[in-house]
Amino acid sequence: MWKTLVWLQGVRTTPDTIVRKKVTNKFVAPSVLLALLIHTAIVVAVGVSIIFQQDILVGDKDETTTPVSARAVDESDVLAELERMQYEETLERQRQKEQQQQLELALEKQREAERRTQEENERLAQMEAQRLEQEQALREVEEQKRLAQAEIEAAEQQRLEEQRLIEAAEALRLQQEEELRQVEEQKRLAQAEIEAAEQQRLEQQRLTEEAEALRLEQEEVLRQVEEQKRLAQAEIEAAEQQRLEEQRLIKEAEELRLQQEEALREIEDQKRTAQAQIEEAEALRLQQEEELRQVEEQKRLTEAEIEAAQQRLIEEAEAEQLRKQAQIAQLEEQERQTEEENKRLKQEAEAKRLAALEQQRLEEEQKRLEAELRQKELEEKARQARIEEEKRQVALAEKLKQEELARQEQERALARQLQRRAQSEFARFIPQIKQKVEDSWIAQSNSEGRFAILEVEINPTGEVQSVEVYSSSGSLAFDRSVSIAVRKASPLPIPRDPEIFDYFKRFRFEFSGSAR
Amino acid sequence: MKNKYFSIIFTIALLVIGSRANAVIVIEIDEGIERGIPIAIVPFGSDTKDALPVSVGQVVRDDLARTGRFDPIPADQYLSSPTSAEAMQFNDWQVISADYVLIGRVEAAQDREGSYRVIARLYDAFEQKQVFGIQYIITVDKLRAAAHRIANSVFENITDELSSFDTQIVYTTTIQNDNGGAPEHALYLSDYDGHNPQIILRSEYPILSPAWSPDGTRVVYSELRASGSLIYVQTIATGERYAIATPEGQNSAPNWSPDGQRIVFSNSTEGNYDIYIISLADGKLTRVTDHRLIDTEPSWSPDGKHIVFTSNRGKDPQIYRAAAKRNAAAQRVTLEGRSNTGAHYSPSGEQLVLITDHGRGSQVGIFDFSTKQIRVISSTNIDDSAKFSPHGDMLIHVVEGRDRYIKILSPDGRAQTRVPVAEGRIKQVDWGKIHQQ
Repeated sequence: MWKTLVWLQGVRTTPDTIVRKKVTNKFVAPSVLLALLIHTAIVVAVGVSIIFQQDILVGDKDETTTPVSARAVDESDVLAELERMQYEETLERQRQKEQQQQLELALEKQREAERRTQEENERLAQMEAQRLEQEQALREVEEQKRLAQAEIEAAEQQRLEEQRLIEAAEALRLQQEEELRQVEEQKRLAQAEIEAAEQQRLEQQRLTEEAEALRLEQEEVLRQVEEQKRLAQAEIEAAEQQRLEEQRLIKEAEELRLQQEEALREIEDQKRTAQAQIEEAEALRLQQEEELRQVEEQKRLTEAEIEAAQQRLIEEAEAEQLRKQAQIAQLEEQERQTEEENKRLKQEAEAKRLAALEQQRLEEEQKRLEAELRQKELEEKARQARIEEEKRQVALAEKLKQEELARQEQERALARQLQRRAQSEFARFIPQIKQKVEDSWIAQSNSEGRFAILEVEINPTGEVQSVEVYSSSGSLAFDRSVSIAVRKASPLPIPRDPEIFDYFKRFRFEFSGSAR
Repeated sequence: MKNKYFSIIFTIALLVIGSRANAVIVIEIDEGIERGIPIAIVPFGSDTKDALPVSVGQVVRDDLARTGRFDPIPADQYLSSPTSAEAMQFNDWQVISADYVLIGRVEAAQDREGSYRVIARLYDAFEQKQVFGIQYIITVDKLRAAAHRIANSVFENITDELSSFDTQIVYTTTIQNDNGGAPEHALYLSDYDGHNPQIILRSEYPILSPAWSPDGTRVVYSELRASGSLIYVQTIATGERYAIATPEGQNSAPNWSPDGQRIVFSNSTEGNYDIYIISLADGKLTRVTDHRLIDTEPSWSPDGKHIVFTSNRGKDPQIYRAAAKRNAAAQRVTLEGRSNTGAHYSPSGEQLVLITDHGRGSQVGIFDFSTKQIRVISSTNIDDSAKFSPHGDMLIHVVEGRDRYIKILSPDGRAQTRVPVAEGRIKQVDWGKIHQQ
C-alpha cells in the first residue's frame, strides 16, 4: 500500500508525460482503488452493525435492570429471566463469537487478498521500475542516436561544404591559372620591355660615363695647363725678383767698383808710367805705321794708276801707237822711278820690320805688366767678393726670415679660406661619394649586425690609392666585400679644385650590414 | 635619408674644424645593392690525354648559380683564360667587373697511376690577392665530387656560410608499364643536382613522403595500400627495411625527430587524421593531437621541442604548432592567406617553408617566426611541400602540372633550376642532411 503510494507519489514527481502515459495505458490503479473502496465499505458495515448491536444490548440492559432494581419481586422469574438472559447472552456471545470468527475469517480473507494485492502491486511496481529503467535506457540510446545523427549530418554538411569549397577553389584555381598565364605573358613582355629599357639605360649610362670620363680628362688637361701657366707665372715673377736683386747687386758692385777704381788709380799711375813708355813706343810705332801706311797707300794708288794706265793703254793702244813710243821713254823713266821707289820701300820695310820687332818686344813687356796688374786686380776683386758675399748672406738670411713669416701668415689665411671652401664642397660631394660606394656594394643577406671601418686614400683625380681595414667586422668575407665595393667605386667624385684636395684625400667609410 | 646626410655633414664639419687639412671624412654606408656576386669561373685546364668526363668549372658554375647568391660571368666575356697563378692578369678581370676569379686545372697525378690532381685558386680581383688555394688527389669517378667541394669552398669563403653542393636527395617516381600492366613505383637516391642516380626501392604500391634520417643512413616513407598505408624505415646502405608498428588505417607523412629516435606521422584510425609520435626503440605510441578535424603533415623543429602540422580546425587549412608531447595544445602559426600547408622548418628553426595560397594559387612561401609574415618566393603551382637544403642555401620541391619536375630554388626565389629525374614521373622529393663521404 505505501509502496504503491510512494510509487504513486514517485510517479507524480516524475515528469507529466510519464504520469500521463502511466494513467492512460495501465488498468491496475482503478482496480486497486475499487478493491480498496469495497474493503473499506465492508469494514465500515461490520463496525456499524457491531455498534448498533451493542447499543441495543445496552438499551435492553438499561431497560431490564431498572425494573429489577425497581421491583425485585419474583426471584424465580428473575432467576429464569436471568437464566434466559444469560442463555440469550451466551447465545448472543456465541453468535457474536461466530460473527467475530466470520469477521475474522473475512478479515483474514481480506488480509490475504490485501497481501496478494500488495504482492501483485509490488511485482507490478518492480516491473514498472524495470520498464522505466528500460525506457530511460532506450531514451538515452535514442538521444545518443539523435546526437550522433546530428553529428553525422553536421559532418556531412561540412564535407559537402568542403567539397563545394574545393570545387570552387579548383574552378578558381583554373581561372587563376589562366589569369596567371596571361599575367605571366604580360609580365614576360613587360620584362622584355624593361630589359630593353634597361639595356638602353645602361647604354646611356655608358655613354654618360664615357662623356664624364672625357670631361674629366679634358678638365684634367685644362687643370694641368692652368698649373703650368701658374708655374710659368711664378717663374717669371721669380725671374723678375732675381733681376731686381741683380740690379741691386750691380749697384752695389758699381760702388765697389768705384772704390776699386780708387784703389786702381794708384795702380793706374804705375800703369801710366809704364803706359807713357808704351805710348812713346806706340807713338813711334804709329809714326812708322803711318809712314808705312802712306807708302802702301801710295803703292796702292800707283798700282791703281798703273792699272788705269794699262787700261788706257790697251784702250788707246792702237790710236796712241805713236804717242806710246813717245811715252815709252817717259814710262821707262817712270819705271826707273818706280824701281827706285821700290828699293826705297824695301829699305823702309826693313826698317819697319826692325821697328815691328821692337814694337813686339814692347808689347810683350806691356802684356806682362798688364797680366801682373790683372792678377792684382783679380785678387782684390776676390777679396771684395768674399766680403760682399758675407754681407749678402746675412742680408739674405734676414730677408728669408721675413719672407717666411709673411708666408706663414699668408698660408694661415689661405688655409682658413680653403677650409671654408672645402666645407661648402662637402655638402655637395659627400652624398655623391656615398651614393657611388653604396651602388657598388653587394650586401649579403647574412650581414646584419656586421660593422667594419675602412681607411681610404685617393689621388687628386679621385682614384682610390689604398684601402685599409681600420676596424674589422670579424668576418673576412664581409671585410672583403666592403673593400671591393670601395675599389669598384673608384674614381670617387671629388671637387675639381686642387687647392682643397687635401681635405678630400682621406676617407673613413663605416659599413653597417643590414637585414634584407 | 636627408636627415642622415645632414648628420654626416655635421660630423664631418666638426672633424674638419678640429683637425685642419689632415682631416678624415667619415661616411656611413648602411645599404648596398641586391644582386648576385659577379664571379668569373675560368674553364679548368687539363694535361690529360683523354677528355675528362666532367667539366669542373661548369659544375662549380652551376652550383654557385643555383643559390642565387652569385652571378657567374659568361666565359665569352673573359679577356684571358689563366689556369695558373703566373698567368693571372688582375686588370683583365677588373675591366669586366668580376669581383672574384676562380682558376684551376686537372693534372694526371705523377706518383699515383690513374689518379688526378685537381688544383683550384680563388682570387679577389680588386684587392689583387689570392683568397684560397686547394688541391684534391682523386680517381676519375670522384671528379664531380671534387668540383662540388671546390664550389663549397668558394661559397663559404665569399659568403661566410656553408653550402650543400655535396649533399644528396631521395625522390619517388611512378614508372608506367609498357605492356599495359600496373605502373611500378620507385625510390631513387642521387646527387642534389640529379647526377649519379641509384634506385633503392621498387614497389607495386605507391611510395609516399620519403624523409631522410638526420644521420643520413636511413629513409622513412609510407607505402599506400588499399587496406591502409604502412610506414617503412629503410637502411640505405643495405636496402633492408621494416614496417613500424603504426595503428590501423591510413598512416601518412612520416618525419624524423632531430635525434633520429622517433618518427612523427598522422593516422586516420579514429575517422580523421591526428598526429602521433612513435619511438623506434620500443614502439611506444604518443598521441599529440586529438581533434575531430584533420591534423596532418607533421614536421619536427630542429631543437626537437615542437611539431608543426597542417589542420583545418579553423575552417581553412593553416599551420599549427604544438609541443612534441601527449595531448599538446596547438597554436595557430600562420595568420595570413587563404590556406597554408606542408610546412617544414629551416635548418636554423627560425623559418618555415610552406605552400601558401594568397589567392593566386599555390606558391612556395617562407614564413618567418620573428616577423610572423610570409614571403612568397615562387609562383609555380605545386601540390607537394618544399624543403630546405641542409644549410638553408637552397630549396627543393616538385612542380605540378602535365610536366612534373624537380626544381631547386634560391631562398630569395631569384634562381630557379630544374633537376633531371632518372626514370618515370616524379612524385615527391626530400633533401639529405649530411655531406657525402
